[in-house]
Amino acid sequence: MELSNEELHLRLDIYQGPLDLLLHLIKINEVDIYDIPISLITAQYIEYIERMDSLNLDLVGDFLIMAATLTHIKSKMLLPAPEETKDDQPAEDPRMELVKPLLEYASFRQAAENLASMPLLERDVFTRGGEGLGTLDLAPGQALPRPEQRVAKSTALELVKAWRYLLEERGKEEPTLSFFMETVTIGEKIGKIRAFMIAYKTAHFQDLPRARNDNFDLALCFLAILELARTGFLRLWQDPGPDPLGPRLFLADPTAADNLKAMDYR
Amino acid sequence: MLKLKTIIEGLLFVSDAPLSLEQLSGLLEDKSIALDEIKGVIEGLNGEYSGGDRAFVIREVADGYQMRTIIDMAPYALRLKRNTPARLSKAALETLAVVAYRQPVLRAEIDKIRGVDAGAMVRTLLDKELIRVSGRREGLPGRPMLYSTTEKFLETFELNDLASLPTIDEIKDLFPQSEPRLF
Repeated sequence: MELSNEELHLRLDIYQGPLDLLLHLIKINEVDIYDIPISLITAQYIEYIERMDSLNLDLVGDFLIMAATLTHIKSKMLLPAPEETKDDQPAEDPRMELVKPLLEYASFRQAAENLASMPLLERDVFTRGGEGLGTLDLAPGQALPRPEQRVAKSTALELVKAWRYLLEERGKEEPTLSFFMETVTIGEKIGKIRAFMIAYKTAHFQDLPRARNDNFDLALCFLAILELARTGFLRLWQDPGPDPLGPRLFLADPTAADNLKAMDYR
Repeated sequence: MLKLKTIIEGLLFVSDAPLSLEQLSGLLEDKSIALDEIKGVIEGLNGEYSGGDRAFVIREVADGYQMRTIIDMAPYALRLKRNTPARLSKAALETLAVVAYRQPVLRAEIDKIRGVDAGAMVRTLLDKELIRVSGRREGLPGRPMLYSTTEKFLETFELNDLASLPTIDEIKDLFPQSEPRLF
């Protein structure tokens, strides 16, 4: 019977990887991990991956590498041990190269079980409200909360998310044909946004004056607000979850961007 | 004049993130109240809650204090939120465990310990904000990224700090049944 990719995936999901499968075989055969009957385990392991019967190498690749390792260890063990080694010490059991990673993986598998047994937020325990970040809703002109009260703990990842989101939103706009090339520098863009923000105090990203359907202009806008935020002129706020109007901008310090004028942005 | 106990309880009730003793102290009018006293008040509140059939208790998470429901409330809370409970796959938990115990850790090190490509899991955990890129390993070709756990990881697993995770050796004693026969 042909198995669909999804079914195969489910069957592979039983084991987290070759080490997981090996630990399982060691357990059901009730053998000592320091004295693995390599021939038996290799045979069972190979039988198992043959049953996977898949040409999807991505899926079974890691399992195949382990099959090769097992076969290699098996062949090493069939060879007579070298009569003497450099330091006259007994040669290391070739199975050791398997035992060390197996033991290490086993301990992390237990650590994972331990994590799963802990009181998990939104499964076992709940806090008031939902997400840790509250939403911020300000009327135009209303005083900003003090920054130390409301600083979103953001990472560069959040910026990437916001940018990808803006690109997606832009894709939804009506396609238009433009017949002329506008060459706006980031300096000019900053100037435009400064004037706009001084007039409006707060705005959504979508409100900013910009050319529609122009990725370059969108990128300029994005860089401009980042630069303005860096100087302290703007404060940016991204609500958790998608906001159709994009990140929100607040005028923080109208004088903060003054020194930007002299700088070259090209 | 409100009692200190009442103010602390109210602040913890209103806050949507864990509050540290320092933050709580900063919100009081009387700046002379010692952090230890606030801590004592919180312990007192917990004493009242556990004796009073309350649905919640104040937990110490991510270096702060937060009101959380007791575990027996979970089925009711889930029904209210019409949510499927938060769930992490075995693969995600294993990856998270490696990051938690080995941080800062390279992708390649995670792959090696788990014996599989951990790329997809690392992305999932980054997306859930349980891990973050904490730097780059200088001196290696391509300066590969290093991963560490986040504050949200602590909040999610009700941990006060990383030191409150049991060590790998302690875990071996906790889960003897899952261990393959070692000797």
